[in-house]
Amino acid sequence: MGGRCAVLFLSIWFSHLVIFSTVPNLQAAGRPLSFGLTPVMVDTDYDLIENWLTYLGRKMGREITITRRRSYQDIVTLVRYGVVDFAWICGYPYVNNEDSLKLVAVPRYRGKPLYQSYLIVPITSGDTDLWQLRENIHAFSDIDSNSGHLIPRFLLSQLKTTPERFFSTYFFTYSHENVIRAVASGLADSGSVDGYIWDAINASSTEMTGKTKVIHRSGYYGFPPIVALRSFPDRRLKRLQDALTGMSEDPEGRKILKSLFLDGFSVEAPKLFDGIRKIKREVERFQRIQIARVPIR
Amino acid sequence: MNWISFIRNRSLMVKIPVTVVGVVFLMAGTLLGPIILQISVTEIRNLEIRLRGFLGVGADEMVPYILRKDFWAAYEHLHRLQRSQPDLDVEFTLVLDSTGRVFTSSRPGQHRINDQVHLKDGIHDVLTGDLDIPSTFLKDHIYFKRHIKSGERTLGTIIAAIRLQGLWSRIRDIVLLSLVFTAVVTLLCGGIGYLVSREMILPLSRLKDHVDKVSHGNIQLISQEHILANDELYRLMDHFNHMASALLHSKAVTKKLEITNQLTALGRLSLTIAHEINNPLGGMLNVVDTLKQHGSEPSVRDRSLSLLERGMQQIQSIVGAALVTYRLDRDYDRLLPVDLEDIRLLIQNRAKSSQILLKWDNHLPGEIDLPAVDVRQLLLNLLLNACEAMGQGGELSFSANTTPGFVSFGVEDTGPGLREDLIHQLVDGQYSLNENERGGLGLWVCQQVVNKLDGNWEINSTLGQGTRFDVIFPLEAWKPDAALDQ
Repeated sequence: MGGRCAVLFLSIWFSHLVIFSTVPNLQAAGRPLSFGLTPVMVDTDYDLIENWLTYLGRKMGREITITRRRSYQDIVTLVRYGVVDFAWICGYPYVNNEDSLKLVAVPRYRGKPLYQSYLIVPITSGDTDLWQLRENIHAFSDIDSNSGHLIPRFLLSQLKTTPERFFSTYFFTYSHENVIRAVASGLADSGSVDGYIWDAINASSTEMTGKTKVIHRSGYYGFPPIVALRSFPDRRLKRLQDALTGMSEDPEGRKILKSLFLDGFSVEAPKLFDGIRKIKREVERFQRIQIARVPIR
Repeated sequence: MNWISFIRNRSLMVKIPVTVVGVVFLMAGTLLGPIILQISVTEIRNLEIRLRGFLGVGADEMVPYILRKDFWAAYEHLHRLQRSQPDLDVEFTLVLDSTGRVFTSSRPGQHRINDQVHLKDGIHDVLTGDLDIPSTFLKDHIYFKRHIKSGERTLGTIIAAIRLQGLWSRIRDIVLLSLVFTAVVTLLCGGIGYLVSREMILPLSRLKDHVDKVSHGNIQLISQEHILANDELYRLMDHFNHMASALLHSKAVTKKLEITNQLTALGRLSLTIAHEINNPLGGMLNVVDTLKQHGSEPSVRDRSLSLLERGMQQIQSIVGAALVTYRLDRDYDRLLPVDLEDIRLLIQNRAKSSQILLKWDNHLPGEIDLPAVDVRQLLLNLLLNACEAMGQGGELSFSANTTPGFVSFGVEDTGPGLREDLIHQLVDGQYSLNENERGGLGLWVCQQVVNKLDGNWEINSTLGQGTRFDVIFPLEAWKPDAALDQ
């Protein structure tokens, strides 16, 4: 009898072991995780994003849903309220909110977790440097974007000016892709855009980027990271990090990475964003001087 | 006006189809104008109604963008708006702020943000309905505007420029299609008109051919095979046939009358001859009685025989003249002076018996190129008629003369004269068969001879004083072959 019971127990244990170790049961794993995304990054390739989240969900054993909002600020707020579990945001809002956010992973682009900001003008424009863009209508992406706002604001501060004074008008498109469209259509005379986005779009089709040209490439800064709330459970964080960093080792993951024009993900230390922290301080210092009405021209 | 006579001289088979084509084309053109006008007005009116909706949506959604100065969102909104109405053919949509500066435009390269724009006249406010439709005809563009309002405050204006080339192109296609359709229908109508007119004119054409033949003396009936229906034209053909039948019958009667008259004339001549023969015969019978009683006396016998010989010679000459006048063979024989002398011989005893003084004036120089039989018949009739008309006593004159190309005969009596209406009937070629009238059939026969020989005659008569007939024949016109053919 005792032998028969032992066999039964072992067989149940074994069957559970097989099931839980090979096929993640998404229903049994709790509520779906929410991934926050903004149109600032490429978010219109719905199949690609869906494949990516399905892939990550399978790797984590949790269903992952997407939450789209217009701006970084919207998404960061949702992360801070715990509505969104993790999000792909820019380095600048990360730096602004690093007291409540922690890094999950950082994409690696062209072998490094770094990217640049581009200044673009219409292909027909004769402007060749930032100074020539004065009195222009300028398109920024997101007010919280590093490449699409902070870096050009920093560059202008180096010229002792601000966008408000330098440009005749400027506006935010809340998408790097829209910055390219605004410049290509002639609505804006120039624009500040994420270098990775311009390159990615240019690599898939030059229909839009072909109407623009890059006149300035900034220095390298920490690539827009995937972040989570500081209270995000470490085990879950680890599994998410593993899923992301493991993509480059997995054929399906590599396929998705290729579509995203990325090499992979790596877990990076916060100091990767020191460059952003530095220009943020510079810009804020310069703005304080402006408020104090120090003549700059 | 040459073109009028040109049109008049065309056949009905041309005139009717051309008229049909003209009328159809005129009608189509007359109808096409108002239709095209109405289509244009309706299209523009529909355009205005659609633009009211288009700019209404544009203006309402533009309010928050203007308030937030969100140029990009406004631009994207205009793009979405234009894409939602691809068939509106919007060239551009422009949004101005309350100061008249460009807020955004679907053509940012053309309208830069913050540029001041001075609106031209002729931009129609879709809410006021002030669109003057005729002023838009054939224009390249039409401009509509609508104010952007938030509550009572005007935040700006949204303007749409609509291309009209597509509209005019569609209307031009309609016109072209209509013209092609009209042309096809017109040609069809022309073809039908041609067939119908040919069908209508065919009986007329046949009728004309037969009437032409009648005018040349050739009366032919239209075959019943060609009288296909019972409409007015075919009934006309039928009436023609009735008329032609009557004419043919009349011609046959005329022929019979001619023969009858010849027989009548022959009878009258025979009577004259019998009378002429009877006179010498009376004398000769007396001579025979004398011979019976006193034949033994040589002097009486010789005188009686001489009288008998002259009497018989007179009878022989009378019979000879009659034989010459009415030879049974009707071969052509030219008129000779001796023919007139034969007539004189035949008529002189008739005249003498009625104490009529006969004046004979024959100046024919020799053979005349006219048929002797016909001329003798004509003159004998005229002279015998004159004798009958004069009764006892009076003077009968005859003359025959030639002038270059003509020969003329004159017969004048001192009888009671002819009534004027009868003269007119004779001169007009009509005749009277009233046996009581002087001449009657005889004069009608004379008319036939004058016509046959292409001659002409003149009758001058004074009631109570006498009548004169002057007959003239051209010598070239009458040809024996033609006469024989007839």
